[in-house]
Amino acid sequence: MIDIIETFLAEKGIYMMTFILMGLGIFGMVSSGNYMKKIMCMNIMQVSIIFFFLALGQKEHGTLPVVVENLLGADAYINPLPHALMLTAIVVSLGTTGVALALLMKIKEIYGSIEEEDITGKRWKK
Amino acid sequence: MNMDRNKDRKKIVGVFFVIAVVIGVFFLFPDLLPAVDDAKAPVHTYLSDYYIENSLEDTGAHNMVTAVLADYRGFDTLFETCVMFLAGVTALMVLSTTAKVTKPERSRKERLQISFGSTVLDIAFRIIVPVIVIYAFYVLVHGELSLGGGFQAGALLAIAYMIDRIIPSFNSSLGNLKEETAAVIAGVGVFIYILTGLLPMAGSGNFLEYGKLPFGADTAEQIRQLHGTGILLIEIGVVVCVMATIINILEVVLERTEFDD
Repeated sequence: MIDIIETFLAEKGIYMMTFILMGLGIFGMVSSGNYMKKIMCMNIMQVSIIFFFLALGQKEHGTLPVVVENLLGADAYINPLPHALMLTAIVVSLGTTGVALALLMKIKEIYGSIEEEDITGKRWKK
Repeated sequence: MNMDRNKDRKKIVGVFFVIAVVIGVFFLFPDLLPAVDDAKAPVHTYLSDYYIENSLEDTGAHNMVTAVLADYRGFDTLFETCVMFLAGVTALMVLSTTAKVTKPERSRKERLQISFGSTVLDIAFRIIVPVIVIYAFYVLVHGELSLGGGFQAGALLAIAYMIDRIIPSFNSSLGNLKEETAAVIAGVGVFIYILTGLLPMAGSGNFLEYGKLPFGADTAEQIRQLHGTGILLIEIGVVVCVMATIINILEVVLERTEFDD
C-alpha cells in the first residue's frame, strides 16, 4: 500500500499539487468578497498553470534546453516548448494584473470601496 | 462576530472540499496524466523533438527556448509584445481621468527617515541597481547563446527603475519617466519588432524570415549568423516594450496612490 502511494506521489504528485493550487485559486476567486483578494487568487491560479506546464516539460536525465557540443538527440534535453509558452504566459499575467489594478483603483474612486458587499448592496446569506 | 466565524468555517470546509475532490479525481483516474519524468509521454513527441534536434541548424541559436520563441514562433511573440503594450496603454487610459495625488516635497533628512528605515538597506540597494542593469544587458545579449532572453532582461531593467523610484532616500539617479513617455517608448519597442519583421521583405523574403535580411549573406554559415542578428534585434524590441510597459503601469498606479509612509 505504501509502495503504491509512493510511486503515485513520485509520478503524479507534482501534478496533484498544481491542481490543488489551481482549485484553491478558483475557490478563492469565487468565495472572497474583496476584489484585491480576487486578483491575488487569479495570480495564484495563473502560477499553478505555469507550474503544471513546466512539470509537463520535464524528462528523465534531461539537461537544460541549451545545445551542448557533442550532445545530440532529443532525449538528452528537456522539452523547450512549454518553457517558451510559459515565458509568454508570465508576461500576459503581468499585463492582466496591471489592468486589473487600474480598474480596481477606478472602482475605489467611484464607489469608495473595493468590497463586493458595499458595491452591490447585497449580502450573502451566512 | 459570530457570523464572521461561521463564514470562516464555511471557507475552511470549502478549501478541504477542493483538496479532497482533486485527490479523489487523481486516484480514480490514474492514467489521466503521464508520469512526470516520462520521456515517452505524448508531449515530447513530433514537434518538440524537431525543435531540439534542428534548432541549432535552422536558427543558429544555442538556446532552444529563444529559438522557439523568437524564430519558429515569431508571430506569437510579436502579438505577445502587442498585448503587453496594449495592457500598458489600457491602464493609462482607465486611470487618465483620475486625479493625481500631489506628494509633499521632502528634504533629504526627512526622506532618509521614511525610507526603508535603515541606512544599510538604502546603501545596499544603491549598490545593487547598477549590477542589475549590467546583468540585464548580459541576459539580453546572451539570449540566443545561453540562458536569457528579451522578456527577462526587460523585467530586470524595470526592477532597476522600480528600486530607484520607490526608495525615497534616493536622489533619483535614473530620472523620472512620465507615464505617457513610457507608453510611447513601449510603442517604439513594438515598432522595432515589426521593422525587423519587415526588413527581410527588402531581401525578397517573408515577414520575419531572418535568413533573408538584406545584409548580404551567401553561405549557410552567414545565413545562420543572420538568424542570430534577427533574434537579437527583435529581442531589443521586446526588452524596450516590456521595460516601458512595466514602468508605465507602475507610474500610473504610483502617481494616484497615497502612501502612509
